[in-house]
Amino acid sequence: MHGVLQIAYKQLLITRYGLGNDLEIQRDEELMLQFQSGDEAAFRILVDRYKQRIYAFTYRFLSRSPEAEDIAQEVFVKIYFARDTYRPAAKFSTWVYVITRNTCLQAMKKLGTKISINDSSRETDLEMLETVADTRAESPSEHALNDEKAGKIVEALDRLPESQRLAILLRRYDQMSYEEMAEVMNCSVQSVKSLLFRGRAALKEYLKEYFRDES
Amino acid sequence: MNGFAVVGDIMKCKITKELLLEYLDGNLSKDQHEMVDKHLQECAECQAECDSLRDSWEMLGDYDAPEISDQFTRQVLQKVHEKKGSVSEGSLLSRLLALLSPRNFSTMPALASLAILAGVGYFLLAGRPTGIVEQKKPAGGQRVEIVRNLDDEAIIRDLEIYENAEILENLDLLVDLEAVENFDADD
Repeated sequence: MHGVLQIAYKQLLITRYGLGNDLEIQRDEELMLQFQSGDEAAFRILVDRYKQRIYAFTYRFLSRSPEAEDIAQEVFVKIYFARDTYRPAAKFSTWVYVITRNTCLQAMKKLGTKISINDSSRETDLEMLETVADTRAESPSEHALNDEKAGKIVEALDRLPESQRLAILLRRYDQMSYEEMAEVMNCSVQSVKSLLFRGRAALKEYLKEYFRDES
Repeated sequence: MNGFAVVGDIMKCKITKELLLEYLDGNLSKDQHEMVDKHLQECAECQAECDSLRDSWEMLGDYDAPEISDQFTRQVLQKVHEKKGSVSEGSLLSRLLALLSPRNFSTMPALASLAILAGVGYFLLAGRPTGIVEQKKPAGGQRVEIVRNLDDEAIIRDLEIYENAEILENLDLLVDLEAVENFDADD
């Protein structure tokens, strides 16, 4: 009985948001409510909406590890099974990034040491990634991957402590506000600012040589 | 912040450097923004610091992630399906274990009653003739003989009659004894 009432309540919330039947144009939070009510098509749309963003995050946070795609998939599997823990009051993207952050940190523990840019296995990892994703044609992104500049950035980001790297990635690539970052990182806005300040100052130092060479 | 009017050059540089990130992010108030702007025009060192911070931030934009595989969504759904399967397989066992967990104290009396009923039922049913008869001979060293075949039913019946006959004989004896006792009492 309780379950029936819960579904009815969610349907009511969906109606209040003024939803039509077109899933593609619905807000993330609305889709999540639909999914909580048992609509699996809504989940598929959420995966399609977020997959590139989440993969890019895991790829950068795990320093281009070949495991990044698997870990991004794991994030969505977790979202599927944790759907009932989502509350409509929370922003969906923030909730997704909390799960992503936790999954990445768990993966880092499991994987042990990070793969360094200077690691000789880097090329092998890259080749493996290309073989697995054989449907992927050579793209400008792959050129960038081999680009010296990108390598230098990865190296600099790798040298940052996890919390600073996380702050930099969320701010630079996901354009999050300080408040959203504080929620994802489970800390105060002041701590976020402090982490960003230290991270950016360190990055500036690590990349200074590159600017000098360039000029 | 009351501007830089009352502080020295070193202090101006220190305050500017602290505000640089917010300045680059456009998060300063109009007054603060103008104040930092003015100092940067006057101080080459702070201007260089500001340029480095801006350049390194912009440089991060050159770090692209590859395009995600076309199979990504399908693979996610497949993993969900596989996990669902493993969850339902384990669910019966996990439900049983959950019932026995200390969190479910409320179910304990019901489970205990069920166990007692099952035990009592077993002993009651075990006493009924089911075609399996155990004949134990109390004399030491003699082996226990077990009749397992339903074809031996005739033997079992004969044994029962034999035992009942013994009881009847004893009963006759008791009746006789009673009669003797009553006879004595009458006397």
